Amino acid sequence: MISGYEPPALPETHYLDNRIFTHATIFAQEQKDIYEQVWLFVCHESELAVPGDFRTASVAGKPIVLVRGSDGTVRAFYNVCRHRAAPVVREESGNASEFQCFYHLWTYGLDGACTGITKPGGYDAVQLDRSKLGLIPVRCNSIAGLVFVCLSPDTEPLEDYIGPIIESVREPLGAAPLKVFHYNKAELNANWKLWQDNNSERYHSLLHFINRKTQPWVIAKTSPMQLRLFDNGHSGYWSDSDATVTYEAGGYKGASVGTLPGMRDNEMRVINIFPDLMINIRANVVRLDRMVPIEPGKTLVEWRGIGLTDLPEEVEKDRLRHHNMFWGPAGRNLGEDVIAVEAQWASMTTDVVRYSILAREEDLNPTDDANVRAYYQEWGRRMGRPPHSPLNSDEAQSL
Amino acid sequence: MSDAAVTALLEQAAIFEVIRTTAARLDNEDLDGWLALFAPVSRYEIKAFGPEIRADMSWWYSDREELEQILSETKQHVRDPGKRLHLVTPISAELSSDCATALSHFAVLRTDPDGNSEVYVAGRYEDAFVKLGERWLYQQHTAVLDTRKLEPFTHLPL
Repeated sequence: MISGYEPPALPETHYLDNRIFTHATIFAQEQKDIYEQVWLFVCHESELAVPGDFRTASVAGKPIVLVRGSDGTVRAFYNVCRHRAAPVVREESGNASEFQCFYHLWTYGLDGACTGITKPGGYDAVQLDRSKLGLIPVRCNSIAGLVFVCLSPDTEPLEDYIGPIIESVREPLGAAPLKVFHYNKAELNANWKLWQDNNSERYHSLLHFINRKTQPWVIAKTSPMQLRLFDNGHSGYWSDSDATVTYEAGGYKGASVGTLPGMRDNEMRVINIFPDLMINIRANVVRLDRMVPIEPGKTLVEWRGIGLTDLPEEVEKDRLRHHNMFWGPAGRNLGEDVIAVEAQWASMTTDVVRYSILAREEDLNPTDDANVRAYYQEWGRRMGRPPHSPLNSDEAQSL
Repeated sequence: MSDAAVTALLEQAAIFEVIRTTAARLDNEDLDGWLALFAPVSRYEIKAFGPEIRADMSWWYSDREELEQILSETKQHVRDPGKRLHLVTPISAELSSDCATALSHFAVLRTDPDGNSEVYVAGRYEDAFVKLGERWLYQQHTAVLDTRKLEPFTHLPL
């Protein structure tokens, strides 16, 4: 009799135990051993354009505020008051000359220094030193306009962590001023890694009616696009020649208005940065996906659309219209991905089919699973757990 | 009441009827019927203000021609199987000759295949109408959402 618990007859690198997506112990360890250890994308530099601009975010379950200081430097801090641990900044974004905790009105400068304690005389007896009570700093750095933070003091510098894959996006992301022209977010009922998988494996493009119409290489046996594998679990796929998306075949106009520097008209590049940043570029727009894992089966995803500034109004409208039709919350592509991963996760929780197969080998054609395999090898290295057999016997009992 | 005032009331009632018909056609997934409420030169938009980026977020911005194409492909897509019910309250209409603007409040209830119902979106319709012949038609039909998380996403207009 066929059993869903029988491991596939494949190399161990070519399948996953689906409990890495559903098990609470795994999820908790991921926060500690991955999310607290690596550089994580938070926002685009244009969201912090001028001194005083700030943005709050949750990183590995911790509240963070990023702010551009008077000296132009973007810094990050834990968004927690040193007095009684209330949140200091309660808005998603804004511009401030200083931060004031709403609870007892302690104030902090844009550099994080504690600048004011209300009724300070009450602390005279204990000689409280406010110079030592600044906001707790978090490592923060930018690359190609992308702002990252890292909670660990021991992790390598950002440039080293990201490595050479950044060269594939440095020109379109970094050669001209860009702005966020699209934003939306949703809490997906799915494990965070399934969203990353969805963007990594091109095989699923068959799901999309719009992709079948506009990306002939999705169903072709070979593609001029090729998978590229990099250290630290990063990967991408793009073409050095003429792979384009044939939007006209789908009846979609205006795909290449405001084409980004270094991009060919109708070109597409996909870059996945371990563990959770997805950079999808189509000629005139960069889509950035950022994830905040909440529970094993709940993930906040933020989607940004980024493109050139200062385009003529009609061109901006065309770009927006086109972007929405693919990647907006009413788009023809993204919503299908959400439905797919949510259904997949719900099914995984039943533990009827315990293993996922990542066994496509196609000489790095985009529908090859090599990049997903590399991602999970990196996951396994960081977690100290083989992704094909991640649980010890006690943990397996506690599902 | 003057004849002009009576005429204005009748025109306002006609516009409010278009707004209610819009909702009913969406609830019935009568997409051709929904599109027939738009003038030949017209636009549909869904937007919401995003405090995260301190700007309006526009999530659907199509002219009539594009709407026609998109809606004709709806059956080809994998999409939310939930059933929707619009609750619409027309608030005001300002008339000026053969043009008008109108404001309505609306919410959409969504019932999933298991029979669970919940509020899907809440917001306002901010509309511009033009009178062509005896019919008021949308020149601009805009759903301005208070809801900022569409869960699930939508292949259908709101």
